[in-house]
Amino acid sequence: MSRLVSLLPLLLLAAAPGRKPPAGHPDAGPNPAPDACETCHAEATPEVMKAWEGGAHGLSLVKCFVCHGSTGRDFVRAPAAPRCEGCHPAEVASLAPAKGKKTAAPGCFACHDRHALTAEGKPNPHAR
Amino acid sequence: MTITRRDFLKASAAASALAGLGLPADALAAQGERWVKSVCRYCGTGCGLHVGVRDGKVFAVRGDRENHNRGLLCVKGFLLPQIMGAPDRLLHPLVRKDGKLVRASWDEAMGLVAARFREAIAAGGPDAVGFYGSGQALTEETYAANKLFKAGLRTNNVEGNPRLCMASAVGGYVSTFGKDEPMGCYEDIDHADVMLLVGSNAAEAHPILFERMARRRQTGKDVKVVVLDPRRTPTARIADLYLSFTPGTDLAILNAMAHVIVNEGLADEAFVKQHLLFGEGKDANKSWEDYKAFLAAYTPARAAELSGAPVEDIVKAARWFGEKGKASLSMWCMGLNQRTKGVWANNLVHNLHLVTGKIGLPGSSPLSLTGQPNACGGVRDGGALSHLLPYGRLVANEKHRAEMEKLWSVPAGTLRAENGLPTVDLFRAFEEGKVKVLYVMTTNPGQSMPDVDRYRKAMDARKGFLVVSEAFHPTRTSELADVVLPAALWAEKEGVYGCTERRYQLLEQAVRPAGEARPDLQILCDLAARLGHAKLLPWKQPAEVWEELLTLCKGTAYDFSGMTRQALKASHGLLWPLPAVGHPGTKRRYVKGEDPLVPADAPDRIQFYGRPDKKAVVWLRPQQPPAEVTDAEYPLYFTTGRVVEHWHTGTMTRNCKELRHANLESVAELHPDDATRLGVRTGDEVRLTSRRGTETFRAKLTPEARPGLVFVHMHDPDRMCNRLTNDAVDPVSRQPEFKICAVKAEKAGSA
Repeated sequence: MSRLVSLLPLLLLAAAPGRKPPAGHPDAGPNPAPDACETCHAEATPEVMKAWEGGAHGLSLVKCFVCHGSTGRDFVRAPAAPRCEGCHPAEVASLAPAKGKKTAAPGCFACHDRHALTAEGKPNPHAR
Repeated sequence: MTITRRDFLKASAAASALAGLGLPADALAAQGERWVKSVCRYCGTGCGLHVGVRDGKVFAVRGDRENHNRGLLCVKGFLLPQIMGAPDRLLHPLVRKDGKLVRASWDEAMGLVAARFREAIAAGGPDAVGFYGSGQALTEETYAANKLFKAGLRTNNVEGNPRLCMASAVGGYVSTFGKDEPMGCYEDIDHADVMLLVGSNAAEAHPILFERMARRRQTGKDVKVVVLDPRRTPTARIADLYLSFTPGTDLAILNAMAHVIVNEGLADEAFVKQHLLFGEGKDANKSWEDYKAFLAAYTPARAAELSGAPVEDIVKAARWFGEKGKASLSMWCMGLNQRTKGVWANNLVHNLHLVTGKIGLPGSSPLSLTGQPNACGGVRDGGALSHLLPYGRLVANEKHRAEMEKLWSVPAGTLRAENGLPTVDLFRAFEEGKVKVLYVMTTNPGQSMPDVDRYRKAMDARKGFLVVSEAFHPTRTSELADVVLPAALWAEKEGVYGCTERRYQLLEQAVRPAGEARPDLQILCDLAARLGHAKLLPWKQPAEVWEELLTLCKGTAYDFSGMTRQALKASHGLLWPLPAVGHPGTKRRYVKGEDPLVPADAPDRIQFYGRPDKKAVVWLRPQQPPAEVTDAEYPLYFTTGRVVEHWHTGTMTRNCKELRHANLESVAELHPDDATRLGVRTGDEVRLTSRRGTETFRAKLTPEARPGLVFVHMHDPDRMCNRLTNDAVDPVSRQPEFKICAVKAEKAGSA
């Protein structure tokens, strides 16, 4: 628990507005506490944990590391659409700009909440 | 499978971003890659995938959208590429010299293994040797071992991890229906109105099937999910009704559900009359009236008293399951199988389907979920256990032995008439020095056996000679070996896997074996040649083995003789029976019009042809306690299981850094009430002790835990739950009771 407590200030600092978050994840050490992501973030970012738990990823136990990588050098703070392709290739492909157009495709998270993944009230661009 | 540039670009775009971690997106689109059709290496779900190969290395996987998993993979499957080049891949043979495992040539290692086999058999007869495999090996590999040991070396000491995993499910299917393997399929999930999950944490052990269940519940009309499990697992999150109960009392609950169904007029009397027999013990010697009289004692109130589950919940579960016109699907796993009354528990699930007639219809089936990717296809169907011969044949059956002797072109009387030793007895015989050479392939009994310290001592005692064929070293088994043979890993070899729903699928070779590793088929053929049995194992390619298997299954209840190698290559999985080339396969077995083995003029929609009388048997199975219950000295129940990040003993998944980081060590999950009594907080060390052994874990307090029950993960080689588990076995299936024993707990250190 002491490790978790020591991590908290780092995480809160990282989340503070107006500060550029560090590129990597704070070192959770080689032997993190049981269920480190969930345990620590239940305190550090409770709204994120709640959104994830209530969403499709939470239900299917697609856990933090699937999108964010490990806490090592491959950690990704804000995953982009290519991260989504592994499981949702058809959906990502359906967002490609129309032929001849130069406009960039909107990212998944332009509509989908990052953790709940819901896109309520948004038009469905995947149907075309 | 070679694909076009256009297909390749599409596939590249679909490549798993996770599996390609560290690779920029444009690198995935570079030329020169191939995508090879395969199946996930892990659980019994059997998810189809494509293996991405670049410069001779596996660099990515992506789910197969044309397979049952619709392109989805769980977290373990996505990270498969990381296991291929893991630092603990064994790249050359090892031989123990002066107490240490040192590098050796293949010829030296195999020469030594063959010599030890010859010496053991010369001194102690054929039963002085044994084989212990698993449902992780390819069908062709397991078959080669089975044939070499039973027909060549003439011992039936052929066992494997499925004895620890699925034996009670086999016993349940065989005693109720006459033949092993489920009659239903995954598609039944899409039609089910009621899903009954008993002793299954599918959310973590079978995530892709769980996703399908969750999707059905979300999209179907008024779909109900009932979860029975002493521990509130993540699977219970989709439950409309969750019943917790004292471990070991689920037999009473299942009988009470049948009681409600029968007493409230929910039984299908016509189905009962036409298709069912009733029995007690081993014989179908009872009647429908006897069964009703037996059930009279299992009132919901009595079951509630025995189990601690609320009486109204037991009644509600029964009414939901039995409601006329609703499709009911039951699924279960180790919670029922790893029990000393495992076969009985399986029988009681089947009973619910039989008395209601909810079987062989879309959405209505008893569907046992399998733990290993090829336990069904390779070991159960292939007959690679000590009492079995291929495709439903039994060692103890003279006619079956004669059939196999003819098919194998060995003299009459070659096959021994006595069953070999089931797993726990096999390792005890090794302990006693009666089995002098044990050949372990693709599994890790040094971590996975119950009461594991006892059998680790036996393996380390040097009374016998331990050969381990394994892709990784050290494992908790290979570290004890006299010879370790570097086996080729998934994607480095070709062969067939058969998963839960009778689906057989070809895993094509994607890359060359690492280092000096060789496919197990090649290793076994080498061993056979060195032992004078080259004629029995003459194959150069796995496809040649498959040709032989097609001749063995023909005319049996497992008939897949139309499933040619070409058909497997062209398909995304085929379900047997499939008795002729061009047949599409069978979703629902025993069903007229679907199953080609049911005559077109059968009198009803279903025919249970597994038994000569073409009936299924409802067994009268009373509540019985587990082998060990709590008492003043050992006041807590202890149970073990899986986490979503790791598979079995973690040999492979612990090589994936994300999985390591997310869930490294086994912890002991405790209810806060128990923890308070012990003075333990999350992160503290807690020492758990059973009558067999002791181990220390870090504690994790969770209100989801059942008071009085400690749960520990099974994947950690450093903190082994099996030091505590019970090796008492089911008298029929010989499967040990991993799921229940009694322990005491004490605080061993602070966080």
